[in-house]
Amino acid sequence: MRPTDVTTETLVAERSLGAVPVGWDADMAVTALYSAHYRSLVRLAMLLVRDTATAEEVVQDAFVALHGAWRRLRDTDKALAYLRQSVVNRSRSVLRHRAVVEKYAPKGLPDAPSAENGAIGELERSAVIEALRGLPTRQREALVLRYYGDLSEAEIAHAMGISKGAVKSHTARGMAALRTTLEQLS
Amino acid sequence: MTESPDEYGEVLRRVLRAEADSVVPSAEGLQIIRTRIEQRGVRGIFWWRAAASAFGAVLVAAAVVMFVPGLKVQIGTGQHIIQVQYDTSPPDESSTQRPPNGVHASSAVVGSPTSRPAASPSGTAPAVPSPSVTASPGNDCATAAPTAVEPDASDSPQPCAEPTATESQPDRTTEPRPTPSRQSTTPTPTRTASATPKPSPRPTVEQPTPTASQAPSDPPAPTATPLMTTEADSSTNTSQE
Repeated sequence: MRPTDVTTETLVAERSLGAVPVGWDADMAVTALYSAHYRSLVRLAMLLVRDTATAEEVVQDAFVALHGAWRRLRDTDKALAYLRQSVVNRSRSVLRHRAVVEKYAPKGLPDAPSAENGAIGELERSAVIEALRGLPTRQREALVLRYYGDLSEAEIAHAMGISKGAVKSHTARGMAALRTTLEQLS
Repeated sequence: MTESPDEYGEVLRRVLRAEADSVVPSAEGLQIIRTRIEQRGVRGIFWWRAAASAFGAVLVAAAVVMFVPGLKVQIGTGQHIIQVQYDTSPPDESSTQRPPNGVHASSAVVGSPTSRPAASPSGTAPAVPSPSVTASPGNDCATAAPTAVEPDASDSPQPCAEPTATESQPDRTTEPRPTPSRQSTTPTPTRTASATPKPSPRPTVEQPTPTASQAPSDPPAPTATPLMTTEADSSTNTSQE
């Protein structure tokens, strides 16, 4: 049961909607960007923070920040880039806070596998996701933005606040770490 | 022979998208965002108002201090209070509490240098300088409003000297000076006509007693009192011997 058909809802397909007309105010821009990118941004955040509720909260905070910074935004065409960068940064903050909390919190039992994991494909997929979660934050961000967001190296570099060379490095190291798990799926 | 990272890229892409498609965001996201935006705006307005009110209060206070000269004068009088502390008396005695005619009167006189010359001569030489004092500063007689209260105020110089020495202290405390003093000065001549014969001997008799009793209250008093005590001691010693 491998997911063979790829959904067309990607950040690349909606990239054209990142441009907001000049005359729009903050409320109109937030509404338009929400209808076009909210779901994809929540999914991006979910891949980074591994929690749907937290991912939604992160994206909502990003929209609120965009509303507050709308007048200071020089180029409204880069509203989507602003949102994406804000989501990445806030996801990073959430992971950093979570690491501190988990460090001092009592460790509970591991999550029990759900009924969906009965299928082999689901197991393999979950294995990849688990391997992805085990990667360092920068490597995971680079891989998610590259293979889920279909962003270019320049866009990944802008979203992560690093150079293109660093993006290449993080992507190569992340893929090398996932190679063993991915070989089982291929 | 190194494999490119995109060799397993398609597999990873499928896995990531399958995982992401399983996420269904809530439909209330936009409403939550708008609520947060409104709350943020309210908080911003509140803090702006608080900051503006605080700044305005500070500005008004600074303007009052800068443009009202009375406050500067009060600040100057505050320094006089420090001079009152020059006396070794305990700080509990404020200017409003001066019950007896003791050493505290001298401390109060030290506190107000303007009133010092009027009081000191009247205390040291009550008989001779008193007329000059009453004549030259009409304000002293005015300040000594109780002069009219005393029946012995027949002689203009003498009664002015007596009350200045005796009642200058309560006048400085809190009694209203201007209105009663002016009213008292006017009736004094009327009473002098009727009372001139009687009090003339009396003040001569009474003057030494208050001067003797009040001399210690004034600055030269301490010098006189030890002399008196020494004389008394010497007299007693001589008598004993």
